[in-house]
Amino acid sequence: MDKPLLDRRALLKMGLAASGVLGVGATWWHHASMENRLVLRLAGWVARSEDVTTIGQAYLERQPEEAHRDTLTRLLARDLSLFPYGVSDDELRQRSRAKIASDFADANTLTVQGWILSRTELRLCALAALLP
Amino acid sequence: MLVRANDVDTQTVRSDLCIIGAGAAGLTVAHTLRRSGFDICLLESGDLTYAPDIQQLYGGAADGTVLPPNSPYLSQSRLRYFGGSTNHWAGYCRPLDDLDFRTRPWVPNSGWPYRKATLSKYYDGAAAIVQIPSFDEGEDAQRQHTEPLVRDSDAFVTKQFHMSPPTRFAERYGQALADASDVSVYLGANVVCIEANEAGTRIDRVRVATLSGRRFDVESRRYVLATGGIENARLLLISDGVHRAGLGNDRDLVGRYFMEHPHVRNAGAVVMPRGLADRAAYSRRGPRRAVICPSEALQRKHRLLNSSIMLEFDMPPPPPAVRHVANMLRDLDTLGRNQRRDIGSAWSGCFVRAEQSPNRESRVTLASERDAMGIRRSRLEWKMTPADIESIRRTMELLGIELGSSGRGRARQGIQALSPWEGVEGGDHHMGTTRMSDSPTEGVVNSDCQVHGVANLYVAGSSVFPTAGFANPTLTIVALAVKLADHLRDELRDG
Repeated sequence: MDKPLLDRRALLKMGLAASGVLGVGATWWHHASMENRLVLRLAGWVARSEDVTTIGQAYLERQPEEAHRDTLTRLLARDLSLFPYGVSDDELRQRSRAKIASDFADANTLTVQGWILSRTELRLCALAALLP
Repeated sequence: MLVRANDVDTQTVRSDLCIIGAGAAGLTVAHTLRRSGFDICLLESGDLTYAPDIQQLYGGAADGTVLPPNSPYLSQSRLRYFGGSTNHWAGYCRPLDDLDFRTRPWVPNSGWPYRKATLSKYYDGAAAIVQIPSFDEGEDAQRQHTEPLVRDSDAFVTKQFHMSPPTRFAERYGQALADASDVSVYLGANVVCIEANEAGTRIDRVRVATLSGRRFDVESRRYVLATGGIENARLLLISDGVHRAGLGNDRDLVGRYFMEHPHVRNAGAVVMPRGLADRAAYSRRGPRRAVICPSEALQRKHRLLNSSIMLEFDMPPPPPAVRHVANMLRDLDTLGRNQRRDIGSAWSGCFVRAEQSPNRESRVTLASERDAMGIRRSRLEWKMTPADIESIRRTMELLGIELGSSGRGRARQGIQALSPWEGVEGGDHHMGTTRMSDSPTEGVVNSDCQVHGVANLYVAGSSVFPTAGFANPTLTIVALAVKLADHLRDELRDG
């Protein structure tokens, strides 16, 4: 456990950069609202390992009504109050942490694949699982 | 002095006090009362060392919620020789919590006839006997010099076990008893019957036999049954000469309410930032060991049983699933912080030791099979209820919420919904079979540990626990034995 997956961050950065570049040309990216882009930025920070994807998929099996990227994006944007535009990375992170903490404080949690996680964490996992 | 029962050349041994069983309880009573001016006869079935033929007298059928049919539990979970199960105990010591003594509306049949304060001074005496420092009431709150994983809150608190060396009672106290002029220790002396008077209100004598056939009686003014949570019930049940259902069993309570401490070695896992929890405080290798416990308020709010969660850092590296999720949590939880606290950089297993709720259907009875002495063997049906495992599962879930809420980690639930009992075992703690209550309709012994309706018969040991908390029983067994010795001293003086 001492050693994180060493190449994960590098890969993540490369992936984010690549998706940013490629995304510029992609239709959905062009038309995505700022909140979508903010949420996708946030989801990009979640380690996209097979296990995280599995947790995300397991969550969606229990919450099939959320099993769409737009739905999850809308829910996350609402819960994280992703307005106004121009939220910095730090602010985005702060809000996500605060929301996760309040989820726990409100017992807004589920046990998925054994993990006792907040609703927001699970939605981010689910979104990560839905990303191409 | 030490006497081999086979060498006894009289038909009747007379004494002021007859103690049956030389384990933690019996040795404590004898040690506390030596030099008090009374003749004490201490009867031990075994010898000074382990012997398979004596140990086999413990054999019997056992099954239940987490025991397979014909489990060897009865012969393997205790030791039948001088010193009893203190010859193999691990040394975990902690008093019961005050809540354990109280009647809790959400725990049927819970509560002792007195509060913890009644036992406090006896816990001090017991601590000296098992070679640990005294516990004081503020200790759990004062141990914050170490960094706990969970800071004390309305939800969870950190408590401490003190670790006895562990004290081997026979080694530590045996010689003093052997040298005592007022104590006679009979080895190889098996009690085969406790005989009451015609009215069944007093004990006249106990019948003793050896494996090789020598027989004699012991007649005393007082008798203490101290043979452990299974045998105490067994000896009362086989002593049916006057009371057909067994001594002290008019209300069909002897043998019922058998309790263990459910142990779940893989109750879950915790990921946390490296350096957050002081590993030494949670280690089993120090003089103390910290455990995480649901607070009284949390138990009340969620109708939980008492329990403790031990962090096991000496675990194999985590499986990939734990690593990957830990990495995910690291990303989410460290976001926006000025200083990194990698939430997923350390992990530990969770070992839960919990309370079992008193259950009338969990019981020791007599089997039809007989042992080498011709005595009916014990049969144990150790039955737990869904509430027992649900309490553990829910406690782990609430720990996960607490860790997430405080940003100090995340927990993984180890109790499986479809097979919740998987991995649950006992701690070899046998309790409840002669439970204490001031009402004879609800208990076998009163608050002085005297069998209801039998004036000179007392029971020592964890069989008298009406509720058992999560703490290992030895310290409370010894405290109760010191208390009983005090009581007997007064009784014997008064005649």
